[in-house]
Amino acid sequence: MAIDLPIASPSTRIHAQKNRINLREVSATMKKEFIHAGDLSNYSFSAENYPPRESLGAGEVTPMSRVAQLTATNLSASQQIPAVTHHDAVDTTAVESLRRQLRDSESIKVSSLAFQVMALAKTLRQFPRFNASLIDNGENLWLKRDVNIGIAVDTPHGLMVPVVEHADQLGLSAITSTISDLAGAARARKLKPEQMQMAGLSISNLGVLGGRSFTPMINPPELAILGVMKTQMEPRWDGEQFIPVPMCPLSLTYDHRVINGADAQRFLNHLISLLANPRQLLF
Amino acid sequence: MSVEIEIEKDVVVVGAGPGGYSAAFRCADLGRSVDLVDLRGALGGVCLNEGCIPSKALLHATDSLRVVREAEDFGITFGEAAIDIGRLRSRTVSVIESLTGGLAHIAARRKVNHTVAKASFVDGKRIAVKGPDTDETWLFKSLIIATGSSPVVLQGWPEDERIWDAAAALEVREIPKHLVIVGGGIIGLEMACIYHGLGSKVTIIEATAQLASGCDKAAAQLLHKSLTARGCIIHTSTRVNEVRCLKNSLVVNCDGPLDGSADYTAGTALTIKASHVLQSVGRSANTKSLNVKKAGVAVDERGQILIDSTGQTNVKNVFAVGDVTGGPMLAHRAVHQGHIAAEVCSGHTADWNDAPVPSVAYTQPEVAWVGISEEQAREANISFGTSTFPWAANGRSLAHGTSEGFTTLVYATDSQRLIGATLVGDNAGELIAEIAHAIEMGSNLVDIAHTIHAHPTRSETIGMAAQLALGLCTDL
Repeated sequence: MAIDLPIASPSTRIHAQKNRINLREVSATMKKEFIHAGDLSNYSFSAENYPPRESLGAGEVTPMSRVAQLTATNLSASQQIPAVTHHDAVDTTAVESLRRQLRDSESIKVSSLAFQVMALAKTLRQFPRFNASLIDNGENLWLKRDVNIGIAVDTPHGLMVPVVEHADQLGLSAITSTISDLAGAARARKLKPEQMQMAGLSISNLGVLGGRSFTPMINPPELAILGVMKTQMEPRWDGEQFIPVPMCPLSLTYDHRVINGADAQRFLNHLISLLANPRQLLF
Repeated sequence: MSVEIEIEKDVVVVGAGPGGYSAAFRCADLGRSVDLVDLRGALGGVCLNEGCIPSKALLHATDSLRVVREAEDFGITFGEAAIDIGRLRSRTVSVIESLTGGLAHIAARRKVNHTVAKASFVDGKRIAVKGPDTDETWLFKSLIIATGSSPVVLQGWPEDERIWDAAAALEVREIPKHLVIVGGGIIGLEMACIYHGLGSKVTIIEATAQLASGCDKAAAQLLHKSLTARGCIIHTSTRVNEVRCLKNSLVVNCDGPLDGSADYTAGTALTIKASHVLQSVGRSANTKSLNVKKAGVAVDERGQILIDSTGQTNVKNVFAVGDVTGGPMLAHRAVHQGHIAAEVCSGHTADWNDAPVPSVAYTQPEVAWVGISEEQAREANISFGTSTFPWAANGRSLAHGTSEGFTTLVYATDSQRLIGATLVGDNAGELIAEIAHAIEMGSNLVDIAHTIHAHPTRSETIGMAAQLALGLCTDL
């Protein structure tokens, strides 16, 4: 009898043996001293998903970055959430003209992302259940006092999500510079862990790259995420003729355990009305 | 020149004791065609025919004498006991026959063919099978060696009908006036209880300092004290130099501190006059007649077959299980090994898995242990704790008029995980099952302390020992 082995019942040990799973490896990988049958199915499931390199034909090895490996864990957790995505779009004519006006007449540079962040922050104030997390085994909801928005940033070493804190209390130019600073720090790998925590909701903007719609994945324990794609000219019928209108696609993924479809659409409608009439955001 | 005819066989199991028949039956259940070879006509090996089972029948019979005597304390008195050893023998034989008959039935249902013969290897693929009705050479696909063990015969002793081995003692040929038991292991101690119960004067001579080697020290001491209190004479650290056969007695010359008797001065030579002497100094693996050398099967210096954790020997397709592979020489170990070897030789995955093997001395008081003892934990440098609950504080024991016994749990300090236990007292052998299961399930002290044990039972002492270690016990 060896007591340095990880603890597992006979049925679990036999299951491991038959499936050629090394319990010491399971223990080390899952950081568990006591291994249950369920741990083995999770472990062997993930192990089965990773084929041996010999089975994959000609190729070469390139390591996954630490950031990517951590992201993978979060994404797997995210997949457990019963999530729904609504696709919609907003006319950006007013935002673009306001941006130009601020730049030309007052030399203030405001990014279109800053408008989205601010509109999202104000919408969250209206819909507090979107700025929340499930707690106590799903028995209660924690409504967050602060409005913090996570910004997904594409970096050469992987996806990072720094947080704009108190976004509802910042002006457009402050948000613009904060995002710029955070994105710079992310790319330079200088983000501190605390700068990537406590987001109430995240925004993933792929606008510079293109795309018409996608299904962003929630960053748990958040309850929703807003995806933004490339603004494109679309024809709109004004009663007499088609006129070209710049439309920005929005995709809202939300946790259906907490948010129902009607509330999600109301949330999107409120967000769209703010972005369509952005002067409200200046006050 | 005669042409040797070889008969092709699928699985051959040599030896029909618990390890052998379990392996044979499991192989048959896995779709193999199985031949079981044993020189004995009845299945069951030493365990059923001249070991575990007959000794339990005799212990039960003699223990009933104790129960009757103890009834006097409750005001119930019987007359003088009369022992009819003829009926005692025939009752024991009928128990054996009902069990071996059951095994024969189970074997027939599985179409396991039992050949009464002696088997000996020709080479690594062939075995010669010779018996009253058989003289053949078999070419096997798989072979499982389960030839068991035999009592060690002490060298230089004379041959005499009054010198018994365990098998002879279990035949209860007569009730000796004075039985000297050489060897204070589990078998010797059980024989001491049987014959002391039947009315013999019993002297136990043990070469080491402790009875029941492998057993927890405190448990062995309690057993020692209890046997002595009931009239057994026990000499530990004592060696037998010589046995002389006289017409009316056997003279046993010993060396040692002679701590078991007040009649002798420590350090002097001791001469014991006995009517009968029982040799029970251990058992050795049965590999000689099997001629394992011809197959190239590796054995250790004691003749025990070397195996891996599946029972595989160094020769392909040859497996070994049970006593022939060394200790602990216990039937339940052999049965588990038999199942594993059967599965592995049939292409399945199985492994011994380092499972703890419980040991039971069916003595009075009964002693049972499993896992790692306090002494072993200390030797292995494991950080451990122990907790002992005395049966003198157990309601069920007291109701039965006894306060003898204790329950000791051994646990790892960091995880509080249970790693072993020793129980002394009535039904200790039954109670140890809970501990074995708890160890297998990785239970810790909290798991055991919070499992509700029925009151009043002796099983409570297990829960209370765990509570005691956690500071939760309100019964002491």
